[in-house]
Amino acid sequence: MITVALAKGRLAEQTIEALERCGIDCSVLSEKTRKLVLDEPSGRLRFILVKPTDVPVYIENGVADIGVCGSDTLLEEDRRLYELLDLGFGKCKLCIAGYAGFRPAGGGILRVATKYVNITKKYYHDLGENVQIIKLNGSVELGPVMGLSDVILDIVESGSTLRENGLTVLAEICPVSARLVANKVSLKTKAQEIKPLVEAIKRVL
Amino acid sequence: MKKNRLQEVLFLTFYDGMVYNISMKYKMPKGVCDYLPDECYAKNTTEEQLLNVFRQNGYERIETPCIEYADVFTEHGLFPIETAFKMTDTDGSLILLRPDITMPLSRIVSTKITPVLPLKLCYLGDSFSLLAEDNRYREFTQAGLELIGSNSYLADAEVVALAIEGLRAAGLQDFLIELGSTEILRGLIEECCLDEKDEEELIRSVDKKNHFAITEILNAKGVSRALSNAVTELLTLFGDDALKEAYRLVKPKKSRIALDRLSEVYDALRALGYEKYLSIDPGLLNSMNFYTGIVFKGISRHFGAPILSGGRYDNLFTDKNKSAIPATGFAVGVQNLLTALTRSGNVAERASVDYVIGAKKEQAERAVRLKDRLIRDGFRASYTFIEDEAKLKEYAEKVKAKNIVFVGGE
Repeated sequence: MITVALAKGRLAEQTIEALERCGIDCSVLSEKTRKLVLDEPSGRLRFILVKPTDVPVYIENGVADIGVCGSDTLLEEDRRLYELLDLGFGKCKLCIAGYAGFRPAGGGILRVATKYVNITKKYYHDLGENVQIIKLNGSVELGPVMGLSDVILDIVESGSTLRENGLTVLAEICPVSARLVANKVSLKTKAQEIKPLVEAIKRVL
Repeated sequence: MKKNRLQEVLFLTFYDGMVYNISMKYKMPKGVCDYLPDECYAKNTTEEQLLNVFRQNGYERIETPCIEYADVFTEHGLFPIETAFKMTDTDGSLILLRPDITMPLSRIVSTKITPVLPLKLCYLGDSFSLLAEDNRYREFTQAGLELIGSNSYLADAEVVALAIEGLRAAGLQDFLIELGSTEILRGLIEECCLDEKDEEELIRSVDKKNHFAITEILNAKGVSRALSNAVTELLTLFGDDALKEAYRLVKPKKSRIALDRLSEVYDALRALGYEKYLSIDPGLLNSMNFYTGIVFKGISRHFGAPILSGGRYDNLFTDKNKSAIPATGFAVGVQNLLTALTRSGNVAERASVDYVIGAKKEQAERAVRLKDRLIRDGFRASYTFIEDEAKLKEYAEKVKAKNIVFVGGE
């Protein structure tokens, strides 16, 4: 049996669609239940639904064998795992956003609000800039709006949240999409189960 | 300002079955642990089993200090000292808690011994890492060996065989040794003519088998499609036909030589009957600036990370004249192995003491003599200083002693 970690929310829905196109019965995942561990009827797969940022943790520790999460999470977490496929959905961009023509208010040091502390550190380090990073866990756009930060580093999908709050994209960092990841040991020790599944997913993309 | 005392009280069932309440006054640094008798017994047993295999095969044990000057590790540019525990010596020199034991061995070989080759050394000891990631040990025990002074494929094969024998001796049943070579990829990378930064990025992506990132980097640098495909396809190969497929894919001379060596090692091990433990992975990476040939990792489905890791490093050991001596070796992560053993139900169980002995005060001498006789007869016996038979019974129950002897009045 292989254990599949899915990132709760939109990404899980799209992953389920892809799995169903491979002929996998995902009905247990659409049932209304509070169960956290769900077995597929054939007994070949076991699903766990976890917070998106936790997917790489479950995978790295081998508690789940394969999983799906955004490349933004992978970049931020930088875990020891295999990234096997770009699933092509869950597309968005990692961007720096803020008010156009803003001036840093923190005595010249840029203040950046973000969920992605590691990515932010690396991005500004590569630019050779010293910044103050303010870690937020959601509604990051409030940072510049309320004056908590000068800019934000966040994922931008359509850009409507930014627009409605008067913010614009100041720089694009990289594109983001959903990835199929695997534990480094499982890929070998459970190759007979994982390889065909990866091939099947590849075919329906 | 006065510090607030922690008020929490924790109830612990101790190994002897007694329940203690412990006020949480002492915290432990992240990533270290105590080994109470049961775990300590399991750990020591495993360590002994590994060392025994090494010793039987002619590897002599050696011990090095836990603290070393930083140069030992930084000289070769192999260890990022950011991840090491640091101290300064009385003269201000930087001292590290050793992050690894292979480098100190290299220090010894280049300064203290005129090696009779092949030199076979083994070790058991703790290494340290400052990295405080969850689920990672900052003090970890490694049992390993070094085969110094042979660049024969037979030396590579011996080291892999001993890795297998070690895990078998420790009682691990279903495990695999992934076998590859850093030089297959190095040959391909050299053909790509990348700068240092792209090369690093490429190696990182290969380590994650991240095809799209690899393609992106190589396309941006105008590397030919055939070459770029060879790199990405190499990563999908593992298992039975991997070697044959790899020959079809890779053309650079260095990579072909590496594949030849990999085949020789594989055939030698197969001839010895180790085939069922082997899984060829031509895309397997182990620290690229450390290893220069065959690399391997031991994995088990009972643990999410490698249990053992090793390979060939021909630039690490030098003699007193600074000429390089080829070497190969591996280290077992003892804690990781223990976890896999525990999960697969193969961990060594501590047996409780065979006899507990109590006696009236005036019979103490007889009791001690009795204890000594039992020990001579091959039992584990403990004299308890308990002078009351009922209390001795109670004690024996708690420590799960197999037999009770109370040396009474007459």
